[in-house]
Amino acid sequence: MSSPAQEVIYASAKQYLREPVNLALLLIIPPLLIVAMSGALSTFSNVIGGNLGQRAGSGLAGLWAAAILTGVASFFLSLASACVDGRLILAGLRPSAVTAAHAAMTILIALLTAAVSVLILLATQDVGRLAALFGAIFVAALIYGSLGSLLSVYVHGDLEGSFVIILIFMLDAFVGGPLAAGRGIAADLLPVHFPSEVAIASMIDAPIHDSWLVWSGLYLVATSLLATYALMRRRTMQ
Amino acid sequence: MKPLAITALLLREYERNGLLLGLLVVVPLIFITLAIYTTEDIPISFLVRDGGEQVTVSKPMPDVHGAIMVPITAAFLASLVGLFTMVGAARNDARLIVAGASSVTVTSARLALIVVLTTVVTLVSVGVALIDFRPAVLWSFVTANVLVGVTYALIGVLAALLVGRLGGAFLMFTLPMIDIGIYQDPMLVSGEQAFWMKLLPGFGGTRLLLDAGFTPGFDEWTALAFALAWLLALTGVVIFVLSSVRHK
Repeated sequence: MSSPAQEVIYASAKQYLREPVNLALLLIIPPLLIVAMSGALSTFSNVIGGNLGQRAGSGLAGLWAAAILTGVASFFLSLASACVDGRLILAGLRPSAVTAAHAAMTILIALLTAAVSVLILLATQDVGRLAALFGAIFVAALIYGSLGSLLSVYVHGDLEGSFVIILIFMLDAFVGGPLAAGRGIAADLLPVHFPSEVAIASMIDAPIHDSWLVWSGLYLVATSLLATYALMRRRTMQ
Repeated sequence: MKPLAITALLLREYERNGLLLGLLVVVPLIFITLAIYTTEDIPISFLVRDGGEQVTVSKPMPDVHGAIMVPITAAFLASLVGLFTMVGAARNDARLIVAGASSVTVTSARLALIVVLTTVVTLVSVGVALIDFRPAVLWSFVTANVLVGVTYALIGVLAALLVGRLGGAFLMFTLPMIDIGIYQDPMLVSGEQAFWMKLLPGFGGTRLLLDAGFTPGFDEWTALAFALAWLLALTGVVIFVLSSVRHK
């Protein structure tokens, strides 16, 4: 990675850390969500036709917390930096360096939220397969992070972007996720359907299908490429 | 300029935003309709107040889920409206003040704008629910949802003032889900709620909503008092924080 890109990453990280409340919320919200949702998701799953147990529900809550927080952070950070990025490029920085900086920030936030979620799950539940659980939550966070970046290029209002993120998330939860025992092409096409299956299987030590891993990976690659392309195009348009 | 004139001016900005207007309809439509059609059609029992007594009623689960999704949707959307309207205010209100409007006028206009948008969001949500569900007392059902919506809009305003844009977004994506989506939902919390759940901002409005949705008459005076207490307290805190911020 070029030195200017590293400078942009450090500057972005410093900007984030200057608002310690944002960092604090990234650490506080996952435990709140996991504790509040662990029992509720199991009950709710029965309401809408699924059959999740409490451990599986907790795993899903951990995945959702990491995914939604990374998606929101990625959307707002990328949207807020659009003008500054344009000026950096005018000043001579390559668009690829600015995009790499965004990608690095998204990866850092996904790592942080996934780590916090997994630590809370370890502290509150029996976890079947730790590495697979961490991988699934991290991949889900990265997919939502990529979607957040992608959205920031095409939706320029805070409110509209938030509504779209909520909409995607609710569809994921109600239609695509194991919460409602989502099956079929509509469920498969939603962003974190397969990572959710892996996370739940990891929590309860059930078999993990190879196809879930392949589809999770493909979804991650596709959303990352789309986000990178959109961010690069945004730079060249400015 | 008078507050109403400024509110009308600010509303025009939203009129021109087709994507936002579309989402204001599409999001409640998908949230509430999905909730109703994905729920198992079996009865569920929960506690309500009827004729001054606490009684257990049994109702079809899709009706209960459809009814409870209205305040969840209203709270989600209204809190984001409150948050981002106030974030936008930080940028734009200074210009209005330079143009000659007083600080009090601009602040009143901004809060009026939030109440108007929240009412629209809430009424759209209620309208969507009415396609599949008929509450026992419609006016009380609407009132309950508007109370929840305005309460969460004010929480969004406070979040904007205290933790800013990103921190506020983190909070507003999670608080309505935890409060109304979990701790006030009779499908998830059966029997009498724990005392601390009754202290949450969504408690009063949601109890009113269950009363209006599933029993004839009006029984939830305590819940109404809780909801109004939250509303008044939040209004006071918002005005205090806003005046502190404006005088800095």
